[in-house]
Amino acid sequence: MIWLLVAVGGGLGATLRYSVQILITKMATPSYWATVLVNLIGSFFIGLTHVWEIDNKIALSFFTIGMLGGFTTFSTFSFDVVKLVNQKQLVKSFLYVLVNILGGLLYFWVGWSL
Amino acid sequence: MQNIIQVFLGGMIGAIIRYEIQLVVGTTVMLWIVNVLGSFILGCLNGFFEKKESKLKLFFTTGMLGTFTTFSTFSETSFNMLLEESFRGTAYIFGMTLASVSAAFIGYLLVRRKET
Repeated sequence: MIWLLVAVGGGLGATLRYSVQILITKMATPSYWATVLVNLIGSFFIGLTHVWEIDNKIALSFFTIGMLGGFTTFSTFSFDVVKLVNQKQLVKSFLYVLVNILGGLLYFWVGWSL
Repeated sequence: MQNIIQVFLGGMIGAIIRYEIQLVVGTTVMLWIVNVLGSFILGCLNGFFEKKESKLKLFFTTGMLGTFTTFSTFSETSFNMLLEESFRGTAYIFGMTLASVSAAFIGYLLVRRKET
């Protein structure tokens, strides 16, 4: 039954990520900012789950593996970099990688230390 | 509404496959598989959909591949590795980022070239 919780969590996480993407592009901001946003927020929450000390396997599967796993994304991040490199924006692509990775670590740490 | 359903259903499938892989190989190896393979497939798909508009694009890209790969668990694993052994953690982060971005690029170029 756990796979079903993971699936529903994943569906919800994906839908939330898609909503963030739509909001960001509606604000006429490049869509890669949506990727940064979901990845940092998702990293923050996965840090928080340590504080909650969830040893409940069901909640953990639904929230962390399903929802947060689905809300954050690595493939879109990779392809955002490809797009920037393709547009010859090398400095920007390098900064973009740094913001995602260092930001993800930082936000995880913030959530984890709360 | 139809777009949201596509993303939701794609996300369900992506999450199940990632979960099943994690059960078999554990978290660290799972991250390599899903992120590098997922980036490669997304690169291929984006190359493909560039030339061919499809109503199912969101199902596959934002839904399935977006959910199949994950960043939150990557942040968590990297952080723990950095705490344990900073060199290994740094190598892990750089390795996975380089491998995934290269995979996305290769997939994109491969499919795009074939289509033209």
